Amino acid sequence: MTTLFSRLWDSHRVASRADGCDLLYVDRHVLHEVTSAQAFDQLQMAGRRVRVPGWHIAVPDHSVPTLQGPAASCGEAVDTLAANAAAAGIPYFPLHSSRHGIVHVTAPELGFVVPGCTVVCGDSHTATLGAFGALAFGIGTSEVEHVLATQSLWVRRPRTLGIEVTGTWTGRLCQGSGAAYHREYRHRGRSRLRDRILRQHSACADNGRSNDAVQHVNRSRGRFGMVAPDEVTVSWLRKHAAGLQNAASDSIAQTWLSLKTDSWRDFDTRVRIDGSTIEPTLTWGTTPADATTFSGRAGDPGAADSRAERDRIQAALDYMGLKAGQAVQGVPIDVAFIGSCTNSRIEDLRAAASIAAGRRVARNVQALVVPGSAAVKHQAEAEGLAEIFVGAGFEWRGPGCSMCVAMNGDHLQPGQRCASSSNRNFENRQGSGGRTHLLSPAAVAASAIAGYLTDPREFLHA
Amino acid sequence: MPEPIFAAAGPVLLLARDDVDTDAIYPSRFLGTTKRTGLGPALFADWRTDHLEEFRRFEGTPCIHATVLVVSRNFGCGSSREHAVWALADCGVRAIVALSFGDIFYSNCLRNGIIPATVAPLEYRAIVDAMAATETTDIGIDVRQRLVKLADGARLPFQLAAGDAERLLSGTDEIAATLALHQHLLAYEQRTATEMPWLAPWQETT
Repeated sequence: MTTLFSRLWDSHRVASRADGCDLLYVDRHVLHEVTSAQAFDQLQMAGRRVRVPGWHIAVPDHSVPTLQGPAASCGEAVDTLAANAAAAGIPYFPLHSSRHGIVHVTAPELGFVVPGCTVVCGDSHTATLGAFGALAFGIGTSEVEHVLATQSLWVRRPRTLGIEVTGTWTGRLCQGSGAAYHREYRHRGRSRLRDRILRQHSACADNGRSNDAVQHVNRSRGRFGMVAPDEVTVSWLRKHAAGLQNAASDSIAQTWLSLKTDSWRDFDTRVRIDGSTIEPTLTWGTTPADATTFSGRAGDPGAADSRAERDRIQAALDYMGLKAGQAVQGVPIDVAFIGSCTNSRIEDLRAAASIAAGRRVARNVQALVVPGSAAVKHQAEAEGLAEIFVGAGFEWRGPGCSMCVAMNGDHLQPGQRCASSSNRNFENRQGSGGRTHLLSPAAVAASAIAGYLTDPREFLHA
Repeated sequence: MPEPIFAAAGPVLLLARDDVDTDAIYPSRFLGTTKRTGLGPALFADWRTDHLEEFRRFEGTPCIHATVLVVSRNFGCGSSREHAVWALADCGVRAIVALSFGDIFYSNCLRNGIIPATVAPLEYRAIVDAMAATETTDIGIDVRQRLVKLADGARLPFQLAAGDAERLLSGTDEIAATLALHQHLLAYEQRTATEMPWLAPWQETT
């Protein structure tokens, strides 16, 4: 009787070290162009080779252009990834391949991520793959080198936090990024949580309710996160994951469904959240924890409990061009971005399209939709979603990280305010002087149409 | 090949802000490089452009220069980019004293020979006060003794897990140490092939 986390950790532990770190076998490793070049260089300089090429794939996503048309040069980093993958015998999916996309969207589509596996990538949003009941986490470039050379990683076992969501839940629940805890989510009640977690389980805004349990979640931070696989997961894998249609036989599916926490008490800490009280949330400041509801307000330095916090809130307000306690509903925007590994799957585009249908983007807003992968793009076009977006005045782009990390030419100008479905609202993240508000895809679509930050539920009733 | 790291001593830079993320330390627009050296000019580039008070004394120079950073809570949170650590190293940083670190950033520091010294609030306050009172410009860090050494003679303890300290002191090549365990890796691979066939090497399907 134990947690799913312990089962996966213990079954993958190859050895232990005197300092308390365990050597975990890495079943799957995803490479992209920003965090791999230096790893391959170091490997070569040390005269080492990739231990098991078959357990890696490489996909460029951070810096690829999303504008349609003939492929422009993607730059040295992408060319280097292609060359390194070819030399090592690692499958590579270039821009314009039918299997290309943002790594965390594409890897599951390829059947590369399965329940019960360990999967790593040189990107902190890798934890989102925990939605498949995988032990998934982000690593640095030196660790990428270690994985290439040894197919394993030395990791310190974290404490565990069990998050139980009760009631009917229709909103969005996310976690902040950081250290210390592994988190597992479960839902008692109807299983729509799995849908949301499959799409949105990522390092992003905490729910902003001033509730002790949620504040605890806010402060705990987490490098790992997981949801036990269920029928929704298995059904998705059978239907969407290329290469798993035959392998996902009934007996394997049963094995996957047996991967769960059978003793919820074994978590180091447990938290329960009433899902029915979670409302659509957005950020007002410069960290994902600066969050509120659409009827809420930007932070107030006067309400801070320390001088440091007061100064921080004021600095965030100054950067974001907001007044203390300003209502967030109605703040005009310049740019609307639907995309990123957090919110660019077909369900996210459907949600946004349901708002955009029959409406027009406001004249003062540049709005773009960046599907998470070529497969998502293709499906969205087949379902008529692309036509809805274009008809409403959104730009329909090709897949890539795009304006989330703003490395590919899609970025904000200084002072521009963006309603963004991405996951980090740090200063300058989307461009020098760019002001980022994090919202759900439906809320971004609603804000694009209104021309200001707005609650998407008003559009559902209209 | 990593070198043994015993200590660090030299000019200090105080950045008393919580949640300094790796986007601030190393902005995304510099991530296109395939190198790991020469990244110094990108360090805190946006904050330097904004003329943040903490960086005033470096205006007009291409790089910040400091041996020890003193920072607050959750330093290096956010993106996993190891470039943040490489840029710090390029600017001479050999140790960071913090209330806490981002998880991946902490790991990246160890792998690049930068000492991540975690202090309790009491010690943090003492260091910040000493820097204000005496205009301290130099600080020493001793890995074996786990001590922060101030110019006025004060010695303050910091935390560093025994294993992490050992890795710094010995300059171990971690990959070589892991490859020495190749029999264990082989045993795992053989067990997986029979017991968990769906974890077999992934194959592309047409």
